Amino acid sequence: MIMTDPATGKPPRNAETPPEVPDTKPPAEAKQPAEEELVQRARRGDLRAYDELVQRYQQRIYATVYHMTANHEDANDLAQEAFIKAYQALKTFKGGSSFYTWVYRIAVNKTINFLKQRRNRPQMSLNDLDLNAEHDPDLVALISEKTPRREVNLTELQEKLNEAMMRLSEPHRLVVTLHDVQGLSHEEIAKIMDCNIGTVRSRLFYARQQLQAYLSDYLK
Amino acid sequence: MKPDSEDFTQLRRLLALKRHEQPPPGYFDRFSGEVLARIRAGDTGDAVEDAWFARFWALIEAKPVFAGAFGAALCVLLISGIVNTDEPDAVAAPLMSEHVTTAAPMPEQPVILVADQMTGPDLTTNPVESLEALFDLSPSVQPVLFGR
Repeated sequence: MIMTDPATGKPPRNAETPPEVPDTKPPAEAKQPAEEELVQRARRGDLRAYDELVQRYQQRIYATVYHMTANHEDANDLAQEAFIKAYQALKTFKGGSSFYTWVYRIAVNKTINFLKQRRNRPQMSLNDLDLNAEHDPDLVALISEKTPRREVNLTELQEKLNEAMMRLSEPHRLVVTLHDVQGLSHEEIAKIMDCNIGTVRSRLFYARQQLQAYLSDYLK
Repeated sequence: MKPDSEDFTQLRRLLALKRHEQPPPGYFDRFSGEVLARIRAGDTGDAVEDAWFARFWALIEAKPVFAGAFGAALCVLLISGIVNTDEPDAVAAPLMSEHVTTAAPMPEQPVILVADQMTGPDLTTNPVESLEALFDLSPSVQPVLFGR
């Protein structure tokens, strides 16, 4: 049975290999129009062009928002609103960054504003784990005889991990989501968060320290 | 600051769990269609949390200085409102004192306070009327002349 990473469609990697950086622009295939062409067409009101853009980036945008909110319903609303707002604001998109980065930034800002207003009433509504989770080498290694809590199962791990993530501040949660979960580079994260790379690195380090402390019962 | 090291290996293994969290089957097949339907319906993508009061509240929460300034402004408005409603009394006071000064009787002319004529609009807020009533010398009252 071939196990694949559901996020990338490729065999899962182990923790020693650096996270894979997804392409910021779609591959230059003959059949797929370039992002710039789709943006120009969408600006002129071509909704089919915008539909193509949404389909290209919906999974990544939704995933980021979901990992930030730990709530599928909220992630659905926020991700949709981000794309809708991006469409309405297409005229202001100057092309200085890729459309992908621009929409990412809209989605992130929307999510952070939403979380600040919902600060005192967090509600988790977690997605199910796919079938590949039990065969992920990273997770198999974690839930082994070396793990302090040997009796823990994946569902419990998922819940504790999300609880720990929600204890982080929004900027720290975001940088862990973008780098350690979604595999973006420091440079890409700096563009999305509109900060310098040093800030990204320091936030990432601090966030990992915090998570390690929160999850010490489940880590070696 | 320590660079990325093996200290976080186990944590990064655990974070891999997040990649396996997936929305319900078929979710992404419907997503773009729903987005376009909302665009065609005139949706602007501004939900409740983007309303002006929500943004204002978010600003108050984010910066306590603004909360304090807003509270102080409300207090100033309240106090000025209270002061302004009290102003007719304050305006009346100078009129009363002025009237008393100019109407101060000469030493040769004793002031007769006639109780009968002190009835009337005692409760009126118009000082002029009460002062007229106070200093009204009706013909029926005979001033007392002190002998010289």
